[in-house]
Amino acid sequence: MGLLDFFSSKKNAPAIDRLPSGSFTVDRHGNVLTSTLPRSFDEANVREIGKTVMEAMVCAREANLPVTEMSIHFSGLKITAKEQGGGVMIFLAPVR
Amino acid sequence: MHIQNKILILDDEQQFMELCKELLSTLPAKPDVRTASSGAHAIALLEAEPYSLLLTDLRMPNIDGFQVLAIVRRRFPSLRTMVMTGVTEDEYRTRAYAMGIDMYLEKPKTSQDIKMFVDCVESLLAREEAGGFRGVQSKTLTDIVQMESLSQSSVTLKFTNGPFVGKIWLLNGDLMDAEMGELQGEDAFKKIMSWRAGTFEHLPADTKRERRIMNSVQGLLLDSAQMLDEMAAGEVPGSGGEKAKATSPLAELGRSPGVEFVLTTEMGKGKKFEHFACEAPDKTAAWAARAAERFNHLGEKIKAGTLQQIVTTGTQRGTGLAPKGEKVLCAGFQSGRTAGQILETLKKMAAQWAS
Repeated sequence: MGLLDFFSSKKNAPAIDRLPSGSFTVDRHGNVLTSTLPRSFDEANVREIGKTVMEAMVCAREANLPVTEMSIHFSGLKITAKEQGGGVMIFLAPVR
Repeated sequence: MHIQNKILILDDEQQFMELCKELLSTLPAKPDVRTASSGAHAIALLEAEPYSLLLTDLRMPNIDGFQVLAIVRRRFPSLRTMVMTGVTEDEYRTRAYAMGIDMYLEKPKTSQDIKMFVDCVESLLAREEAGGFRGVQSKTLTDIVQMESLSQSSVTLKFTNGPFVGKIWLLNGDLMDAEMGELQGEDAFKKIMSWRAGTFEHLPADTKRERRIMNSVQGLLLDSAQMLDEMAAGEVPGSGGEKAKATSPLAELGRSPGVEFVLTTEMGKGKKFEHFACEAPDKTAAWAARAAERFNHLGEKIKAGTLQQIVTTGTQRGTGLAPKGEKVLCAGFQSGRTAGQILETLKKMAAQWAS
């Protein structure tokens, strides 16, 4: 059993970040207004997602490609952004 | 070798375009029928690859049919053009014919109208296959020069073939000079003679033109036969030969369902790009390159894994981005396509592009 204990013992192993599931809204300046994301997910990351999505949507409009919905597919996460009155509602869903 | 005719339909009514597309696809010539819902997109498609016939409506938002015809007449003079519209006033019909269109038809209302429309398109395609310079149907450029020479004309012949313009000066039937771009004399003459189709006009003779060509017209026409062979192989710029009509890999990708344009660039600023039928390639490339780079970094930062695709939908059109290493594939889709449809098509296109 001692050998098995050795393999199953992960008390000191770093925790694996779970990709979040939930949604949040940002205003036209990229400020996060509301969020249903777990608190374990770093707020800086939430802001970064909001800022990147807003920037991509604004640049798309400038390139004459106005966007009402955008989905970004990563191997582990899908981000969906929907334009709402100048701001954006963003949904995060881990890929299962 | 038989070359498949390409028809471009321009109309802001999607349903009408689809109906026309279906009708024309049944022609014996089996033409490749493409559609554009705006003038700007139609021009972008025409710039991307050669077409045999443009079928356009007149009343459209932003750029109307007349504006499109004006651009087409200047930039694609050899393109056959046909107007199909609900506008019935004679004034517009006359104006359209004055702009050099080949045919003006009202939108069909009965089965007989539809049959006539299909017959007319078939007839125009047959004329396109026969080639020739507009105004002297079935006459080659060699025939035109030979006729002017034999009748001992003093004239300046101006030929236009797409963006290329050439002039040949004749004095009492003798060949005096020729000019095409930076080429002059015999070189210019041979280059002009290699053109397969286009427009020509008679200009007043220039009796003071310095003589640069000393050889006879007949001798030079024989020399140009070699150029005509090259033209058949498509090796002469602007000749409209086989190579010119060959489709690029991006054009192949552009045939995917619902695709309006295709563009490839590199992550970052998107200054280098290649495109097929994109209206504003520089701006689109800059956006695609920047978006792909930013989301790539975001993926790394939040540990979301590799960026695979970005899909957008909007009121005007949808887009799809797929990165591969440092390169980015960007495709524009017709409005009305769902994000799911765009994603499916984009995946197939990305696989084809990667291979």
